[in-house]
Amino acid sequence: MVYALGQHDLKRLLAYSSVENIGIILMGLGIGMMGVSSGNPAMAVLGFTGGFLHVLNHSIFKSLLFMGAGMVLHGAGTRSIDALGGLLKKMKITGTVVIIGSLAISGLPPLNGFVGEFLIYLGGFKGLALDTSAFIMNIVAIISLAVIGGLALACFTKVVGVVFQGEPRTRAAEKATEKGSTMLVAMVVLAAACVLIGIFPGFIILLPLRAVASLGLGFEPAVFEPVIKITENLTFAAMIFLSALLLVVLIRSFFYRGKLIAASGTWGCGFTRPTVKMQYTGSSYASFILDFFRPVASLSEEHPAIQGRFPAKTHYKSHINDIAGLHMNRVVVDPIMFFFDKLRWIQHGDIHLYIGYILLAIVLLLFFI
Amino acid sequence: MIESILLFILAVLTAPFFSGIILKVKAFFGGKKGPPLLIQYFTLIKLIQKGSVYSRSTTLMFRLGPVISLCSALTVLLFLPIAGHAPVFSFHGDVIVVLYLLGLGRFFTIAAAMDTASPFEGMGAAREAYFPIICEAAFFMILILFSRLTGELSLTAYFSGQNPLSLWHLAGPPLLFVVFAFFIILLTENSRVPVDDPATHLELTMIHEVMVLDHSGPDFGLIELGSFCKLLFYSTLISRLILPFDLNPPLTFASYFAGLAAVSVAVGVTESVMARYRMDKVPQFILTSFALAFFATIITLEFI
Repeated sequence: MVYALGQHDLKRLLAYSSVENIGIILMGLGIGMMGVSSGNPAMAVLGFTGGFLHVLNHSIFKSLLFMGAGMVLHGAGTRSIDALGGLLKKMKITGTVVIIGSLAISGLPPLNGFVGEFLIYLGGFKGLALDTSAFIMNIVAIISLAVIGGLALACFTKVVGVVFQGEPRTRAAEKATEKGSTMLVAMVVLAAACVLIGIFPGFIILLPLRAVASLGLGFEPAVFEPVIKITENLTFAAMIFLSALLLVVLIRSFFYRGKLIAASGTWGCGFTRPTVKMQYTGSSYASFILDFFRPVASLSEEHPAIQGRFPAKTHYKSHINDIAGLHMNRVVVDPIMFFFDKLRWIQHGDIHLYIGYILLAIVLLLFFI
Repeated sequence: MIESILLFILAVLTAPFFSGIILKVKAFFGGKKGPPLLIQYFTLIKLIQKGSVYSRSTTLMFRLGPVISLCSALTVLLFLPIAGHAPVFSFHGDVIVVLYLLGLGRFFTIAAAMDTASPFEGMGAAREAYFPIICEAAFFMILILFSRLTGELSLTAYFSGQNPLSLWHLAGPPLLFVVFAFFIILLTENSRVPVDDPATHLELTMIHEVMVLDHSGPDFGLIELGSFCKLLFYSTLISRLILPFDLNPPLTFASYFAGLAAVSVAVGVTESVMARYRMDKVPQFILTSFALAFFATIITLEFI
């Protein structure tokens, strides 16, 4: 998730956050397995159901987000977060569904990401009654889920805030439009699914429950009852929230009756010439958090200093170093590439020799089989 | 049930009062008479009577921000046992729903802040997205401790009726760590010194104030009420822990409100005697609360 925060490219950011969500799924499955091994069927059911439900939920909101990124690329011509901005005004439907997808992936109620995480949390808390090593594992699981949730919120408020809110940062973003009604319909359907599963998880919970039952671990049906009760509780909580929302909206419209509403520029604290480049960029938003994680996610920056006393042009480039990527490259990929480079001479483009290779292969196969 | 609803309404109505206590305490430390105790009520009434100015850069998200932040604060209070009485609603695991609802409010406040295309709001939003990450970890650590002590996972199981007293019986001194950890979380989530200065007028030093810089009129009133309710929520947790008595109703109310007043005074004193930390020291401060909760959990491992 930390690597996702440091990305400038919208799709790479989404890819890194997929890694994080797979982690959540595995956490759920792990808690389930711990439940099985410690003979605690309630914990096992919660963990597995949460894990499987998150697989389903993730497929819905991740595809929604990727489709949104595709629409942004289609409309604005760029995937770079720091070159976009203000797209909610130009691409209303895309913006709305991406906001719903971001809420879902941050695991916020009353959307679907929360339901899966809630079940995993409950499984983890059940496991706190176990003995020492399982207890430590459960603590690690719960705390990591909490931190991941916070990081996901930070990452996706970055996406929503920098890409869709504010003002366009470049000409390309100013010209962005929404085209392609079939693409929009697909995204709206997925967003509706996110909302519905979040508010009424009872409908969809049967799918993961059936999957858990098919694991053949010998659970009686009574063990699945609490999970259904939990989903009813979540529906109840979502209903309370929505009623409170309705009430507050009504109160607000009552307060605003007959009041003067004016429009003006954003308050610039006395700046005479605010420009759109003065907005917060994605990298500035994330830099604060990335500073905390510096040992794991080092940032290489390129920022030539301004010489002289007057304002002058400069640029800033940052790149987050993916430790896994760097080390895998050095240890695995580079030696393999070196070795196969030596065999490059086999592939020389002469079709006659290629036919000769095919003949040789056929002869060898006939010989040995 | 009726009593719980009445208590909920009472809590929402008295929330601005405790913010007034904090201002009075701060003024006392400055040798000033300070604003009247009911100042925040006057502020809310004043804000409701105004109209609003919206920036041309903003969209619907900007109008949604105050609505959702107030809504999540109110919903959270519905699950809170007020004055030790059972809350309006509760179910197993409602603590997690409460925490994530507060996160929902935070998401929309940040999105509304980024909507204004102002670097000040962006700065505040970046900080607001960062500090609660550690706060959530600390709160969950405290939840792990409570869940291990009581085996249950709802606010009413920890804070209503006899339960806080039984928590003290089960864990004793480590609960002092928890009280301190809750206090640090309160300071962070409600943007108090030493994490954020609610009285500063320098945008570079603000976190929460700067995010709501462009809101005006009734919108701002909704945001203020939401923040008072959040303050009430965190103060209740501490109040029920430090004064865990469950006596006949008038005394319980008195002790509960006395506890809230004590927490407000403590916040006021903290704000007056400390300066706000430099921004890179703030994560260390919040990590202290996580460390306190963690040690409290480790210590109780022997007792149980």
